[in-house]
Amino acid sequence: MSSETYELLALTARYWFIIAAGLILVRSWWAGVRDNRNAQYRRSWRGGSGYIGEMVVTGDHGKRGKSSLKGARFPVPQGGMLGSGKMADMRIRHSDVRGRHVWMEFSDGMLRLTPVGKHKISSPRLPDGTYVMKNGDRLIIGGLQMALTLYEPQEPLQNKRGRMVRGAKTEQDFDDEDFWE
Amino acid sequence: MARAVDLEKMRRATLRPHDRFMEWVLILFQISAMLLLAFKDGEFNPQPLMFALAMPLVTLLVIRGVPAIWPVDRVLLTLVMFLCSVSVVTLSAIARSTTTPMTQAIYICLGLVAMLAGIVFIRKFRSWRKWMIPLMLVSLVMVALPFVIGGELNGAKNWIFIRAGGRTILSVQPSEPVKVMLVIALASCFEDRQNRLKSICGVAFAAILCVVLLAEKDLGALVLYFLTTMLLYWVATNDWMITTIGFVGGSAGAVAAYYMFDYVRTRIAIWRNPWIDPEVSGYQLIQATIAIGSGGWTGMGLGLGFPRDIPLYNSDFIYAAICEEFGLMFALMLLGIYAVIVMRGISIGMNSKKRFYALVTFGIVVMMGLQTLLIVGGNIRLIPLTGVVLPFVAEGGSSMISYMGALGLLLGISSINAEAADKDLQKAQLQGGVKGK
Repeated sequence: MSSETYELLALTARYWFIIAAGLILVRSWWAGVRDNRNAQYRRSWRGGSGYIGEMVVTGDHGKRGKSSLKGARFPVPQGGMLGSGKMADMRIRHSDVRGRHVWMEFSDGMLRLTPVGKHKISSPRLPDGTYVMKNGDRLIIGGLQMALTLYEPQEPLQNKRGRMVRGAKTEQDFDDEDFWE
Repeated sequence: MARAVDLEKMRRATLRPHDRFMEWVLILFQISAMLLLAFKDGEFNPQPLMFALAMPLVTLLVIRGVPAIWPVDRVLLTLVMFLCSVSVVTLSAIARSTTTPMTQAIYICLGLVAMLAGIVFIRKFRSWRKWMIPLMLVSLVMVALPFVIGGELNGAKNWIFIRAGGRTILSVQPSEPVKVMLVIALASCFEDRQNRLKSICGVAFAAILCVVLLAEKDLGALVLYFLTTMLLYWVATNDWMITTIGFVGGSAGAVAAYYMFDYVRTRIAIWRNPWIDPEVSGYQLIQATIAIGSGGWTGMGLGLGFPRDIPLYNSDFIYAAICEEFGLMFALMLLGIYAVIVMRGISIGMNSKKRFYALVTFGIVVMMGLQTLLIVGGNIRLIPLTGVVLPFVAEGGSSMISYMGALGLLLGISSINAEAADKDLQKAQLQGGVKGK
């Protein structure tokens, strides 16, 4: 092939390369948009593989004129933020719930709650002041009352003195004498 | 409030995209570019012809084979294969020697093996807590290793040279694989939000690494480690105070480094005005700017440019070479593809049900995105040049294999997410439908 022919082909091929890159960019972007839409829908399920249970609204004494949330069920993730904001993992649109209200973390059969800043909640507490919820416990945020229902409830591991053991994952861990002595 | 959810809609929501059209566009791009290059300079070159056959085969094998074993994100895989193809095509067009694209192709193949290892690793070891301390120790040893057995290259003492018979056969940059190890170690530290001390230990560990990198004059890796650590810490803990202190401390450190170290001052001076020393220190920036300008919107044509005038045209300045050969439009689309990869990575992190996976995913994509911005910004004189390379595109085995390993972690997490979604669907089908809010 002569240099002139190569030059002509290379100059023509530039447009094809731009089109190819553009097609790949647009198609992949569109696939991302569809994926996110599907993921949003999946996140609204109460399936068991990712979520540990659900919060059932047992009472709603929020602002007048707003539709009551009583009876609504919200899937609870293994860990994440409860709030009314867009980025909350467990989003509850309620006048008493702040954008980022409580951090939740599930471990040792209990849901540990850490309020963000000075936001107020009411739920059972451990002697060290940590908020924890077991199956059936209630969480109160302002006028909103919710009950936790775990899909696979288990009793939190306790040592011989009847105190809950932090970090125990299995019965075997718990039985290890060094662990709780 | 409660409504029944359509099982069919749920089934559709668990489907993963498989864009065959995109795959064929990629394969056509590889074949057309390589066939063109086979006749570059008016003579037949068999190496590009071999690539024109091998690249589509490897691409098909990877894009079809890996998802057949694990339900990984095919789109992510296709995009990375496109970037690797751009790398081999560009190096075939511009490299002085035919061994350069061949070496890069070998690194990509090794990277694919690292990617498979990454997928297996993240799927097999679900708990990383016990690995955290060993990982930190190994990272520290690896980063400090160039002090003991390493050597200096391009002003930074962050390389290890493996020599045989008096000549260097392999040069390794340990700070590249440590990037991935740092992200895993930090994710393990920040996973437990309750444990503030552990989180601060993670930040302290990253700070020690940064000090070692500063001593090695590896500014690029230092900036990347610092920014990734602070962003990951903020995302994991939402602790504004420590994050602000970190950024203020980092900025103060940058100012101190400017006054303490000559090489930092030189970099800033060249960035502000490369014409103060056009023959030596400002030469590569001037040549890069000329290359980008001469490429224009549509480029000079594959193999018709002169990017070899830029020193390090194959590694640090490959983006300028791409601008000259393929044009600014193509180069902008390349940046768009990086943005889509980062978005998909964040999406994988958001869908993962474990904080550790979410943090690993976020750390990897943030590091990759920042590295891309740093090097592209450095090439176009938006920010001072920091000496990092364009992920998946620039020549270099350490970077390619490390990022492919990191991609393996991303793909592994995407496959775990997909399996969780399938389980959800199965459970819902067994229940005969579910109710959501």
